[in-house]
Amino acid sequence: MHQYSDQELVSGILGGSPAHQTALYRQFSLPMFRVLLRYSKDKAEAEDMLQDGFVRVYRDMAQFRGDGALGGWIRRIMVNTALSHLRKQRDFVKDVPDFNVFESKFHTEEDFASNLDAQTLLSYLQRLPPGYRTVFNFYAIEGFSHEEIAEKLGISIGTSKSQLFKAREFLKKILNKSFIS
Amino acid sequence: MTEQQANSPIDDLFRNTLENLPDSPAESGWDTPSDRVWQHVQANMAPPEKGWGLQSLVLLAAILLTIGGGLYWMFSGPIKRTATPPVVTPVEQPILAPSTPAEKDNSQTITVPNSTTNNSAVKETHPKPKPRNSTEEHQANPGANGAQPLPGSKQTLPPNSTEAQKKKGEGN
Repeated sequence: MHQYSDQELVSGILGGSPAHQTALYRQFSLPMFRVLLRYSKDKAEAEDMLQDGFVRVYRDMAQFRGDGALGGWIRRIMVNTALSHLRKQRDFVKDVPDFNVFESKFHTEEDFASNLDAQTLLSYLQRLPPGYRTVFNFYAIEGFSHEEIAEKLGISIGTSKSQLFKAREFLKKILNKSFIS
Repeated sequence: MTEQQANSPIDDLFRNTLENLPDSPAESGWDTPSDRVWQHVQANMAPPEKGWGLQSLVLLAAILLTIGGGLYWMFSGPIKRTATPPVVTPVEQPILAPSTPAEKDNSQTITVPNSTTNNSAVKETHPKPKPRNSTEEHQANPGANGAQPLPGSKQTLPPNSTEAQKKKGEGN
């Protein structure tokens, strides 16, 4: 498969070239899908986000100014698309005081006996409530500050810190249980 | 990303594991989107219709028809309403004295009503003869003057000129 440069992809897509449209999808669908898997609860939801994200990318391609990498620009669109999906959920950022990740999500011993590879960690992350998962993604993986997270999600800084703390607590419990098993 | 973040070991574990994946997709396919995603993206990238689309043409035709109909209604004058046909009074033609026997036979059918007029119209053109006196008027239209005879009273008609003439004739 021929690898196009960022500028070739942009100019080709703006010219309506189907070959460049296909090349862009083939080049970026895998890394973007991995990002979206972290924000979604399962693969189907991540696919919906990916679909909407690429439609936005092709639609807004003329807005790409070329002062950064095309991959970074596409990733920002994908994360914003994931946020749009999550905001549609009612009260997606809220405390879940009685949330018990072990009783509600893990049912078999095989869940804890698996190795801590990327797929396993991703499955742990996907079992968190959406608010916990989103704040943890923004802070621990994307590197945003609590101020930025509060602005993006429309919540207070205290809420962002609280959601991060509880997400970590739940993940620690899962991992400890996994190590014990 | 504006402040020094206090990362916990659990943050590092997730970030290092999920951000440093190999370039090739996993054999199990957990990180590969299905083909339907690209199909839906392509469907949403359909190029816009060149020129006039069918919907635009239909909308334009509807607008032109509406405007044309309105202009025709405005400038074509008032609508001729199909009311009841006017009553045509048949003209009474003078009965001429027949000069020949053939004309004498035809003279009996000299007043033929117009086919467009009905019988009621003809009747309206021939008013009833007026009563010659009050007695006949009372017989023709009893109670028209509003005076009703009392029950049990003897009905006496006022004398009139006809009866007076009859009596006068008998006397003569």
